[in-house]
Amino acid sequence: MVDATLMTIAALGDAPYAELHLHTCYSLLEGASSPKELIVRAAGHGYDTLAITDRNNLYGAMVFARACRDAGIRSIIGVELTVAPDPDADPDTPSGSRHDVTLLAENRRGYANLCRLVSLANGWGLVEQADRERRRRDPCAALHHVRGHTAGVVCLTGGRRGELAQRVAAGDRPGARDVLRRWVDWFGPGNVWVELHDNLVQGDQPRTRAQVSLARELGVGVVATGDVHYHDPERHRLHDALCAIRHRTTLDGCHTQRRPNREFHLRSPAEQAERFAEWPEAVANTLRIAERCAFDLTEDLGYRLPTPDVPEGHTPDSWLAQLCRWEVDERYSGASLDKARNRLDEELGLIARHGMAGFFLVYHQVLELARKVAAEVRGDAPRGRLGMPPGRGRGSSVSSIVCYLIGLSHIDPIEKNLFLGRFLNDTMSSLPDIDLDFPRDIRDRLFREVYEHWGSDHAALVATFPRYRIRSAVRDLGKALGLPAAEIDRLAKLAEGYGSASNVRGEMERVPELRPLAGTPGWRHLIELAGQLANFPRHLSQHVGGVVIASDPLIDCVPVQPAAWPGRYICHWDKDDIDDARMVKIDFLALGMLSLVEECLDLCAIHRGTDINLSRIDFEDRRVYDRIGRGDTVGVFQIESRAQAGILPRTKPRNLDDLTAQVAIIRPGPIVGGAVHNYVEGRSNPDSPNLVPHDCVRDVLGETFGVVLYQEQVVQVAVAMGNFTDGMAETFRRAMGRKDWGEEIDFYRDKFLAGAQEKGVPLDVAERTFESLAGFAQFGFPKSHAAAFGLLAYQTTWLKEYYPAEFFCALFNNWPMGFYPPHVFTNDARRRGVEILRPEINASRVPCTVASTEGLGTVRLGLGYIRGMGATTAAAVVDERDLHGPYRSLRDFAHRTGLAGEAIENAIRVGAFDGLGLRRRELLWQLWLLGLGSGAPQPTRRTTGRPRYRQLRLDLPTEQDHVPLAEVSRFRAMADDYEVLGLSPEAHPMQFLRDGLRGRVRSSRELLDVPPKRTVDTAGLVVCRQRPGSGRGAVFLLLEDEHGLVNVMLAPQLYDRCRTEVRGSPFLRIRGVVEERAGGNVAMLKARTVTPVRPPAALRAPDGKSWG
Amino acid sequence: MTPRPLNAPVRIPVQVDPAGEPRAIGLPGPLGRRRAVPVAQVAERWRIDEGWWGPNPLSRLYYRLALTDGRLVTVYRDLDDGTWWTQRS
Repeated sequence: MVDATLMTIAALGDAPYAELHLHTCYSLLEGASSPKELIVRAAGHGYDTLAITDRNNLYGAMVFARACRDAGIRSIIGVELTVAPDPDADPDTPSGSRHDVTLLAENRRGYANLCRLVSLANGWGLVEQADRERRRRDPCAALHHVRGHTAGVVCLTGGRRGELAQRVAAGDRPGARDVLRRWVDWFGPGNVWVELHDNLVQGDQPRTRAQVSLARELGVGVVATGDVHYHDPERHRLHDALCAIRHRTTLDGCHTQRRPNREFHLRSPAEQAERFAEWPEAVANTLRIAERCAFDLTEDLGYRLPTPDVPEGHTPDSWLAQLCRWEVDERYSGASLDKARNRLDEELGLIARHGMAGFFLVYHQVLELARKVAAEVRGDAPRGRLGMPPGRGRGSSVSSIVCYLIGLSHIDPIEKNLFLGRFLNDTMSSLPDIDLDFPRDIRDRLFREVYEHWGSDHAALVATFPRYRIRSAVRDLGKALGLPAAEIDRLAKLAEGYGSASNVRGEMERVPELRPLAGTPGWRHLIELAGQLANFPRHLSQHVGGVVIASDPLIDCVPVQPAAWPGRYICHWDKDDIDDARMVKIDFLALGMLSLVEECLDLCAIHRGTDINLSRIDFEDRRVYDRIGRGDTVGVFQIESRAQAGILPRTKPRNLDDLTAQVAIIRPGPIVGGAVHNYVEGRSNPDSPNLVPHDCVRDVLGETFGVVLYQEQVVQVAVAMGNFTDGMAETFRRAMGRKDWGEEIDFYRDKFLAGAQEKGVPLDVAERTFESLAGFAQFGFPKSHAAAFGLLAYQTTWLKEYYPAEFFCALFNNWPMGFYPPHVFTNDARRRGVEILRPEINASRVPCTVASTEGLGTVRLGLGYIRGMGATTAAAVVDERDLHGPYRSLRDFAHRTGLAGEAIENAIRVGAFDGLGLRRRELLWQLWLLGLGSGAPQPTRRTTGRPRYRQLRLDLPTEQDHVPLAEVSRFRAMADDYEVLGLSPEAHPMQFLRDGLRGRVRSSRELLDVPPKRTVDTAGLVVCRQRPGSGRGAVFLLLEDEHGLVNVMLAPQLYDRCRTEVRGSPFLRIRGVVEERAGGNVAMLKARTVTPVRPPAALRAPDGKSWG
Repeated sequence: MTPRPLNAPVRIPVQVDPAGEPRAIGLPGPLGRRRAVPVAQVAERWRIDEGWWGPNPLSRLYYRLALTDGRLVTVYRDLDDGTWWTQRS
């Protein structure tokens, strides 16, 4: 027996010690090294086994287990769990007092118990939202929960912070004895070990002696652990700073919470053996425990795909086939029926081979649920009868005929000739991605239905971990280090977008006032620590729409806890972990544009009596493509952005295939790869030299002018040029979208270059091609996805072309969405001839409405658009009018609605009372006479929303005091509009600012007639500021004046000189050189100088969209 | 006369073994003359790393020592310059 044990231990390797207590950065704001850093160091030290024991979570378990496997180290999954007799009791009382215990998974059963305990500690099972919220902030498991989940779990008593140690340290030996007996009683003899910590903290050594003596008395084993919190002693600084951040204080302010020294790093096995030389059995026991904990998360998770019920006599395969065959005969005929049947057989064969029929049937079930939800949500609205699918597939699934037939996608893959390979192929290493887009209202309901159908222990949202970027790192660390708040704020604001936290020095050096600080002590620490903190997870958050569904309880595979959002549950792993665990993830995405389309179709049916079937409209409509070719696309799906509008006039898409490419090209990925220029060149000039990098990829890249546009092409190029196998190429493609891509890239580059060399491709060509593939990381679309989006782009442009009033109305009501704020599309509507009417108390509803379909139609703004009114109040105003007729006077309105103050004042200022025949200033005067001005005492408001009818304070006649007053100036009215509505239905601020500009300043319309290369001046309101990663530091601005938009490009040097103006001033005057333009109605200026235009103080200009 | 803080550390001579552990420490004997008292046992060691972010960072390795003459003393080594100090605890 002893011999057998010794042999196994010998087989593990030579290290005399295994680390069983280790925190990674997933012990949020506590662990100060990433799993990778720890594992690399452990490998260097010669460790054979390493456990992960993050605090109250398994966030890092999968990442850790896989990284260990890659490093040739055995991993043990564990957790440091906070426990209390009663977690809801006051922590300062005995029943609420918190202690830690270290739990390790010995086998599959034990792992499931850990998952459940961690879930319970984080609020799983609590009913009241307030209780959940409290537990989420302060995770803690009840002792009786631990008692119920001991099978397969090895219990270490928790070192310094364990109850045992604390009683020992307090001299309470009988109490300590009781605690140890309790653990042994619950976990069983041989499963409990007294955990010894020696991190040279005062008290460690005497306590350890007392613990060993107690353990010997009761015949319990002892085990040494390192209580590791970082990989290198130097990291203790970051560890200290994180402690300050966690306690929202400074380093000086957290003296009592901070660990006292730098001894919590990963020591080598020999050093640990040396430190515990007095207790050799405590060191040897680490190996005994390591040997027992054989559970390997990368192999033994035991997750099974959901298995849906199928009718008697069917297998999942035969049932899926049956469902599809019924549909195929419905939808196809003639030659395409044969083609469809062949394709179907091919797909069903692949699905059967990979055992994925259940997976597709689950999708089918989800869609059935979605149909039910859609029918309920759409209710009696006209769109309910249009037979629309509840949502649309996106992603590569769109290429599959099975997905088409079971209703997952709305694109016919036979007709569109879509390549199946990326979605389903012979060598599938993981499950295919299926993403579903839904209108917002349907999506939100569907979430609830899914929990109800599968149960919240079988379905949960996928997690995501927002990570430290430069801005968050500077703010948090700056505060911890006690640096001056003003400078920290300045640096954080100037640090752009999502820059890496490792570039604090670079950012400081760009700002003259901060530059000299970079060398001073406090700031030096900031720079150094921010670099270490870069990319650490900050907190748990929910993925945009990913849901995991399991047939065995999910909570046995991964901890599940209530999300911050009431009624939602979230699991502890992010999308990469879920992928690694080979779990089914379904993405339910809310697509605002689909909500817009549904509303627009309703409006068309109501106001025009037309039922529009968007899948049967004319997809070859010249008018629509002409409009697109001019870049006249504000508000439509995907092709509306500044960058798109700039390129459309040069690429001039003429059909859906062109639009598919167009959607794919303006993505961060292709842009980084330098694709836009080449694509535009190829498209606008058929005679341009061939840009296909090498003959071996001519078939793959020919149709896109040598540019890698789609994810499929990445896979195909990897095979054709890099000599990858199909499976390897697919792994490569997936690796690009993962968080650890930066660490993997070299491996794939070497492999690609080696493969290309075998194929005789010159090195420089192969390198360039690889970079253009790598540029794709995360952002590229699969072609099928681009096709789905291209189609929606066309459909929305078509709606905007033929039903503009309905389209704009739906756009107003579904905002925020898309690229532009409402004032931009208001101006767009007006220029196009759609009239936008002010909100009006006797005509507006709560949302915007179509007021008339004469000509191009008229949109009436809703009362909900008035700032200070709010949807509930606006609804009450409309209800009262519907019940008792129009409002006859201001007094009547105030009487009947009980409103006062800002809400009425704002409504008056934007003309909502103009219909009463009085001027706005007269109305405001009346309001004051009635004692209802915004300075007057406010009526009591009930919190339930609906205002109460109330008596006016002194209901005396006021008519004798009415005075005629002049109308407000047009400028004042426009300024009020912008302040209250965020837009002006009639005027643009540039109309008023233009007179104050000296010299010749051209309007956006005049610019269109200026020949290229001329230097001219223009001015406008900044609508957006962008600094794309692909622009090599160049900044792009979009200006708007009363006639239209102007694109402006600033070189990096110019931007560095006038940063403050560009970032801070709402109106700019630009002198610049007119660029070549291939038609279209947006001019492009390359800026030479930038001057702020100061608006009158009364004007509160809307903030441009910055760096989005 | 400048005021002297109570309990300020006092520098003391210490003999160390090859591993750097204290072997004997020089303590004021009777008549005020220092004499080396051998260490019987190290009762405890602990370490402090503090204030690295400020002007007075400190790193110290403390020893609680039982001396052959029966006294218990706490001494520490300043890890920046290797000097030894004692501090009444």
